[in-house]
Amino acid sequence: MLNRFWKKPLGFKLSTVWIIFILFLAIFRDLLPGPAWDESTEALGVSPGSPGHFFGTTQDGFDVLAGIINGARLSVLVAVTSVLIGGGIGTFIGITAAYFKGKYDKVVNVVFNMMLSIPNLVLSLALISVLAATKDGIPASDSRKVFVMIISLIIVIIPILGRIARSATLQWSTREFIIASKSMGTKDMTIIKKHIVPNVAPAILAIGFFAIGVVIIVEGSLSILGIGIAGGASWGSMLAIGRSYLEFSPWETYFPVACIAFTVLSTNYFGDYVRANLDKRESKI
Amino acid sequence: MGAASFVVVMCLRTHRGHMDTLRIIVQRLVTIFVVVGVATFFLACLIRLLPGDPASIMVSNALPDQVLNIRRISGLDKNVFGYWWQWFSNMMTGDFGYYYQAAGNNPVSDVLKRSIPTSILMVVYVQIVALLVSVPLGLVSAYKEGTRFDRILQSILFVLSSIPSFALALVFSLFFALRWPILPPLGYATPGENIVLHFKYMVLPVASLAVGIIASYTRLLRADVIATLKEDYVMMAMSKGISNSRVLWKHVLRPSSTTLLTSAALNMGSLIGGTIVIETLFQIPGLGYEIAFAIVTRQVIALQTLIAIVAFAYVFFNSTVDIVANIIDPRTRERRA
Amino acid sequence: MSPVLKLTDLSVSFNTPRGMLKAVRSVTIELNAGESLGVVGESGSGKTVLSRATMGLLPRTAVRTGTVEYLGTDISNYSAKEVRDLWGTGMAMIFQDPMTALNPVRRIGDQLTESLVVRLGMDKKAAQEKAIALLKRVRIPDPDAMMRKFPYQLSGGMRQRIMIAIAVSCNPEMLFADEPTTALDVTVQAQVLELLSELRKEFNMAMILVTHDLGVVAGHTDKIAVMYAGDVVEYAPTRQLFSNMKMPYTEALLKSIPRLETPTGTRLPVIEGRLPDPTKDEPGCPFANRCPYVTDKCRAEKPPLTDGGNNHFYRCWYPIGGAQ
Repeated sequence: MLNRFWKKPLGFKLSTVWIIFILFLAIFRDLLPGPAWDESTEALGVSPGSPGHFFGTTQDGFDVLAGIINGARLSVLVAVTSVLIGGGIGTFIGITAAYFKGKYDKVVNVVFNMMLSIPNLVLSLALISVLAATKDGIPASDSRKVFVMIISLIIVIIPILGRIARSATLQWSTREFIIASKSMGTKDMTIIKKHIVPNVAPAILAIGFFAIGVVIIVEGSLSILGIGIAGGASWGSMLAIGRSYLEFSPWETYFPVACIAFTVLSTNYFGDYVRANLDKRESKI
Repeated sequence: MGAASFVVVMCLRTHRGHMDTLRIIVQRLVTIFVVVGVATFFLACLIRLLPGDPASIMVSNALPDQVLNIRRISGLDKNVFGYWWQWFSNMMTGDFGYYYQAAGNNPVSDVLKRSIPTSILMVVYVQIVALLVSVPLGLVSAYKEGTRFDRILQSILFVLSSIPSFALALVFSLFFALRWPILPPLGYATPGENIVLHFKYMVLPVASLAVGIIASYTRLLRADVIATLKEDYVMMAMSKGISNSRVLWKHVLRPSSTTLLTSAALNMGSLIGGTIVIETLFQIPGLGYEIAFAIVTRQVIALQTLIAIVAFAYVFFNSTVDIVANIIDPRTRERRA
Repeated sequence: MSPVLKLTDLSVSFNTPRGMLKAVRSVTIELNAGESLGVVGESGSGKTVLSRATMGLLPRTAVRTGTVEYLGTDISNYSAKEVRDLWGTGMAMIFQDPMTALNPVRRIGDQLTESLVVRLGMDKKAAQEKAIALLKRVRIPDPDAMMRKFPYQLSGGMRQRIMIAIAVSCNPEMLFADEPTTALDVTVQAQVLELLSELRKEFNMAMILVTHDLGVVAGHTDKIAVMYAGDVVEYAPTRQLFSNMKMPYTEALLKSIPRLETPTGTRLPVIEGRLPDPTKDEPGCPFANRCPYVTDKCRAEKPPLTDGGNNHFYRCWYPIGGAQ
């Protein structure tokens, strides 16, 4: 397997290494040495490379490296849960709509269209501002904000992947082997499981990778707008704080920006890679 | 966003049928209003789901009779549908609602008068810059397909298309506004106030937004140009003995640009939404900035109006996009007739 | 006077993933002003590549060896720019499919006046007038209206006439017509061929007419080169070729043309089998597997191009009617 990995293009190798690295940070956050991310030190605005603070510290005295490691956990949590759940729901709705057709499909199509007609950042902004609101106007707690963000992103993801699943299924459901299977009295759910899902999976996987990038960018954007996660608990939140000190301690902004950019780059690369291989497979059929 | 626009294009293509122009226009208008109507109704439902009373959330420390007044003016005292219908029908007559504040109510239309032109200018600049750069790049890299130049350019473009615009905005402002202060870091002036200053303020935001778009436009155009270069009429044009650049610009570009211009048109709508972060970072009072402001200050009525305008722009460009394709490629006229 | 075109040992290969594909093998041909040569062969025989290679209109993967002389000058080592300067004004080409060879998004007038303005430096008005005159010459009704039309509004025959008008617009010395009538209706085919012959005499052009149909070249060429698997297998003046056919392959080609006098219901003879793999160099005559007169010698050794006298060349061990 390793042998096959080395034969892949350079971009593939770099992306894999980066994603594994981020997953490693996210999973083993608590076992890694170094100061805690939310523990203020005496050293304010220390530049990178200083002893004890490899990535420097923020103007408020937080260790940037610790923040990055902690932010990795949150980014992975938000991205993976929202894309998996939202993608799962969207795929299910999309496939069943395209397979069973009729009124159900028409309703699904209109709803997807409508949701896609609002730019995804605006949609998640609106959802979060509504869902995160509390009765008395006091800002919601961080854990509630994370939960609300995941819910909102799930809603954003559903139509994106749902549309792809629907159009891919529409293409496949007219193929002979599916019609043949139907005519032999195979149960619909069996056909979907055995014939449709394996065939539409690559297309959905490709867009799923892009969706992870979308989620990470939206998370960063929300923090910049001041309605995301606060206090430096995520990459977006770190740069949202850091950008006020851009002139004095740019590393506060650079490291989270670089992490966001590399992660999006890696997932986009995988998306592109899956899609390119998909095209190759299609052309062989 | 890319995936979504792709789906919309495919969807529109299949909808081409034997219809006369008037019916198409009527059908398009109905579609636009239905989609915007349903989307805003959905939003109205969300607003009514808010825990607590939207009227008292909008104005903190409001007096009880002030809250009652707000509820009456805004229609929040009616049921969801009644509330939505009042807002929607007011929109049609040019009443865009109010920012409700303790000191008094400001009409949203005052904000729109300033923010819509600002956003439109910014989006237009982004499109112009993006097309000016991506068209030559796309033509050349397609012409040199597979060469080292092409492969390096493709890798660079892939990286650029993946970098979020806010990341570029932060990098650009550090270098060009703080380290070497040749441009103002934030702020805005309308062209009427000071045209030179206007462009100075626009350089960094437009550049941050344009880079990713340049990358995606170039990749789109390159793919289509590669396909066009295999056409007989390109060889025919070459056999006339005219220069390669003339062949590319006069014979190859136009038949290859349908996808590019279609997605540029689709981008018009999504860009207005996509400028939110950039407008906030650079403090440019456009639609995106106002949306973020309305959310932070919980001005739900204003928010609903602003989102409706963005959605309208988005749906408008989505559903008129095949008209663009029509202008570029006369063959589609024949298909319809 | 030197001939308009002289090809010496012209070979073309393509770099493909399966190896070097030999499309044209060492072809030698000569053509004088006003003379017309038919290049005949089935698809894959290399006839189209031959004409494009002569002009230099080949993709980057192609490798060309041998010399091409144009009006006595060797142009095989010309730079891309020098070759391009010959295109249109010296050598022009008419493409096979008029449906795809005109730019679908540009008006006929623009496509027709382009060479006149860019290559001959005419001003717009003069180019417009010349274009209309050309359209009249190729017998297009209502040429003024035609200038503003798009290709999709025209029939195949009309488009082919326009292509011809474009090709002759800069008075080239040499015209390549690549299957100019294949995509057209039978009735239109004859008109287009007639038009080409007229124009050739009028402009004193040399012409290479590439086709798979021996019937097409019969009345419109001075000499014929029959190609098979990249080789010229028979090369003779038209009259000579039809009266004294030497190659079994040429004979088979002729038999596969439908004739008016054939009773309906008779099966047309087809040439069984396929062309040999162009990426491999197998010994023997490439036609051996399909030839009705094949012997062991044919399978073992490739016949050379033999001079049969009267400018008649053939590539066969056992020519029809015997060697002269």
